[in-house]
Amino acid sequence: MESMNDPLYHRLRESHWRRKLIAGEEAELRAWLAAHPEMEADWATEAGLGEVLSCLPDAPVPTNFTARVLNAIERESEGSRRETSGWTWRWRRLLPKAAVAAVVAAIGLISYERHEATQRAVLARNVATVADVADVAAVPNPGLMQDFEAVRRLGQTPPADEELLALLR
Amino acid sequence: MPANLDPDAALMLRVKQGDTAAFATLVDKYKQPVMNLAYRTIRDTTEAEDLAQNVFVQVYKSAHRYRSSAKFSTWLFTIARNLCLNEIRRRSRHPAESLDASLPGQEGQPLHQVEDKATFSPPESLLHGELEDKVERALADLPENQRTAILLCRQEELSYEEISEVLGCSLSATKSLIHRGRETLKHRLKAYLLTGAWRNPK
Repeated sequence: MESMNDPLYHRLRESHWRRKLIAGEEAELRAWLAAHPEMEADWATEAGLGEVLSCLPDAPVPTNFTARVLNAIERESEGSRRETSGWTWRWRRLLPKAAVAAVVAAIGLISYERHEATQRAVLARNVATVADVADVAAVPNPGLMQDFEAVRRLGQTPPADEELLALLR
Repeated sequence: MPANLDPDAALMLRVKQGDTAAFATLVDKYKQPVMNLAYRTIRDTTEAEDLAQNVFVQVYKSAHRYRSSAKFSTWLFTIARNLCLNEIRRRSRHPAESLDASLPGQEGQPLHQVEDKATFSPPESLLHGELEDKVERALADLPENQRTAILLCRQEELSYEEISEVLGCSLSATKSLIHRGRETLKHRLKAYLLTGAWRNPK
């Protein structure tokens, strides 16, 4: 139904949701409904609902409600005042800071230990490298490794050549 | 202090400086609408009183965060709605025995006959008991955001923009929530609405 979407009807209906229509709005509505009689029933239920909702009784509020609110606030303030005084509260404030300091110190110590370990490992590798270089001269000619017999005799002191010695005399 | 400062904002500025008399003035002014919202959210008078009390305690504790550029009522109802939502979530995690539960063989008869003090209407009420009960139940059955939007609409000091701030959604979404909620209520209460049965017979 087109008249349901009429902007004037929408505006008047939305005003009616919040409050009673003023005289000018009532006149506008009467004129509009005269031109759109098919909307009379819709407006009747709309108006009826508005009246019913406005007649709903208020929920009961105790006569001492405000005093109870103020007492609750006073109790909460006293509670937080007790919490923020005394050594317990001071310890609670210091504890997080101490925890952070301990974590930072632990991280520093671990980093130092790792650095020292790395340095020691580097030194050990350097020493090993120097030792390897020093042993190069004692390593036999690689060509000898091809000859099994020669390899077997490596490290053995060859016997004196008696015939050669006799010839040389 | 600016001359055109909202009166509630002026009171809150005094509350920020520890003025409890200013705070008591604000509590007196808003205790009823806050209580209405709390009661129609959790449907228990005693717990609604506790919740409403907690709303104002929270307002006082958060006073240092209040900015005078913001409307106090918007800020207040935002806190109230958030506490209501917390209570709804808490109840959904720890469901209590339903007051509407029936004994076996006695369907239709509630298990607990409890006087609902909130619907005990003094003579000046314009809604008779049955209709009032129907309206309250229809409201209670709405989704929380639709019900809150409709209830906040009753607070004439809140504009639609301020209601949308409280609900945390756009202006058009807010109006859509109100429209859908009201359509549901009209459908459920149609028989009463057309007869004008709520009008005071006196």
